Amino acid sequence: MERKFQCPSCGAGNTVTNPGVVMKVCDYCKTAIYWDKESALRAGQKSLDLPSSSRFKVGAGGQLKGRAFTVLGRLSYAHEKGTWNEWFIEFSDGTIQWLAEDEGELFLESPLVLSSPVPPFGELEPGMQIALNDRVGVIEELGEARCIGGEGQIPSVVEIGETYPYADGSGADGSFVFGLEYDAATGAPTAFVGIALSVGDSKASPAAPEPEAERYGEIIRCPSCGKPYEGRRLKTTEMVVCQACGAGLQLDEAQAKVVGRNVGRKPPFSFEVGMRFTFEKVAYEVMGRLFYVEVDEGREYPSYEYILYHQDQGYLWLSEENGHFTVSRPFHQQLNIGKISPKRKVTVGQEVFQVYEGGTVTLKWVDGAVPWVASVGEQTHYVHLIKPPAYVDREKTRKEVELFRGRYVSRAEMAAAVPKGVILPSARGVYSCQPYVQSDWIKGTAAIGIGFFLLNFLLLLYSFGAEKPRNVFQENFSWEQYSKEHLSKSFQVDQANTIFRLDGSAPVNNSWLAADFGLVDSEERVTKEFFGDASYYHGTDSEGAWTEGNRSFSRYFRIEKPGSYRLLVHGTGGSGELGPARKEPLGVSLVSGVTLPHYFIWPILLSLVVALLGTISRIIFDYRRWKPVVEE
Amino acid sequence: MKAFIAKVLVISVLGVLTIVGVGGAFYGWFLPEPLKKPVSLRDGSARARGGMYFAGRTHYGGGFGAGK
Repeated sequence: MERKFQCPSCGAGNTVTNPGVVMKVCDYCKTAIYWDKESALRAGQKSLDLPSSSRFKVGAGGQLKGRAFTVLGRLSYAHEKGTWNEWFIEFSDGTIQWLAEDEGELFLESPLVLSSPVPPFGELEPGMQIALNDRVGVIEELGEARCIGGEGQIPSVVEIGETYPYADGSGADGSFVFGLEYDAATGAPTAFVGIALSVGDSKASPAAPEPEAERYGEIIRCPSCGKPYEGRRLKTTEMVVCQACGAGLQLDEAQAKVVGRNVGRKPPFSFEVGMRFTFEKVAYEVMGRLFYVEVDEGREYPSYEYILYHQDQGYLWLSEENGHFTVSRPFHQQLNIGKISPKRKVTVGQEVFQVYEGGTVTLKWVDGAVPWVASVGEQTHYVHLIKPPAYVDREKTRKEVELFRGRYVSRAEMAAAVPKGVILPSARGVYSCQPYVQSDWIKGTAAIGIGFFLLNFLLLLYSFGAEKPRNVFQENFSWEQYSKEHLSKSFQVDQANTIFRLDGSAPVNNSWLAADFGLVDSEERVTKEFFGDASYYHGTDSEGAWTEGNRSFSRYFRIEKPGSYRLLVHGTGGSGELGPARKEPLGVSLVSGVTLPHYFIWPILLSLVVALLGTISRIIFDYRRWKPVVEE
Repeated sequence: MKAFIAKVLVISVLGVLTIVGVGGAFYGWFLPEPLKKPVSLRDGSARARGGMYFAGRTHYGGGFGAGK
């Protein structure tokens, strides 16, 4: 049922359509008008000219998860790091709810009647868990908000210019978000709970989006140097950086306010403000850039952040470190990280991530336009969790805990995302959340490796099976015989290319015996020469007992032609360091029909390496991933 | 192309090693070759000092190493 009344300030007619409305900002003079149960009208402060939204407008319609709604009114608040809007919306079935719009994120909330008390504002800390009736919420942000104005119909009495403490947070499981507003005078809390909407959940009516040209906004003059800011900005922009003097200008008030200044040389950003990127078929534009430095053990680690924007998709954070890129968005989930120890497992919703590292980064440079007030010099404590290619960052400042969830952007995707001609920086090392991607040249080699491994293994087994050893002769040679050369008894070879193994042994003890062998055919000709030695030493030193050498040896040779053969044996020996020969006897036995299976060891090992190449390269990749943070 | 070259290379190397394995294990490809010219035991011994075939040219180079 519509209610019509005249503004007590300017007399203009106003209409209220929702029965729950107790405040209306005059459509004409922007004065806040309040009434109570008796419908007594009271005029409050005038609203400031509010920052307009790229998404919603009072009076316009839209859809949330397929449900049509109409925007009845809104309130705008300023806080330390920017502004946010609270849109009062009415669904087609008459349900009314609040739609909070902050840094491009949307939250749909309703008032919650608290059945149990929540801690007073002064006792709250970011990361603290509090009970919200039967649910557990975690504080993400604390601050003081000032209502800078409103428009349309409002279901609660809010004095324009009023300042009150607030706390924002989300449920432990990320299933809900909440806000607590504390009355500045009494400290009484008012609670709201709702859900975070993902990109695409909301759809403004076609009339609502601003024309492209209007997104440049009015002229901003830098209070520091007086020059106009001529760069790009959106209606959600909270801060721009003067291109002339580098002063950071906060835009949430009627006048731009200097909140910091870039000093030193401009960092070597890879991309320019205004450059367009295409991720997942969505064209984003670089609105702002930030340069951070982390100092660890005296060494500086730089990283870059680009704030990308798309009218429907909102903001997307593109980060660059060591030539690697990630994209991320804020998300809301309770994290119990505990000790920040590399590889520690942390549950994030239904998924298990691993702690990569934690640290503190300092903002050194910001330019362009950003949706929050980013002051040079501000520090952020972070914890980086990974589940390649995904990652979650918890960023904590004095008054705020924010979570970002993102993913690694491959070089191919990045190359396709940037305009033609843009050269990407060279990637160094393995990035924390970089997924292992098997090289093309490794793919398929595993099957080849397995094939050759099996073949050579079977050949190895066959070589053992095919061996038919036969003792040809056994003979002992005395010192007197081998020191003056001695011919063995003859042996018969029936088959060409027969392989023989000569086993020699001597009871050497801290002494050695070396023997030369000549293969003598039936025509008394030496056709082949080979050599063997037995050398065995032992003793004790400062490290204990030691031994070296062996009392036996084996030598292989092949006899190419059948016939009758003998061995010519010649030996010499010694003892101690330079002592005389001990004249040990030399035992020789000859075995025919042997094979040499050890020749298959190399192909087996190499084919095994080829078969495991993918696994090995993955292990090396993971080693390189963790090396920077895992202590030796 | 890179993948193809890699596969050809891997097959070639493993193939050669397998052939070498078969040759070495079953045919003794890498065992001492026969002397290019067989030496008569009598002539060889006559040429060497002391009338022994191997005299003065033992292949031995080892000995005491003190456990090292």
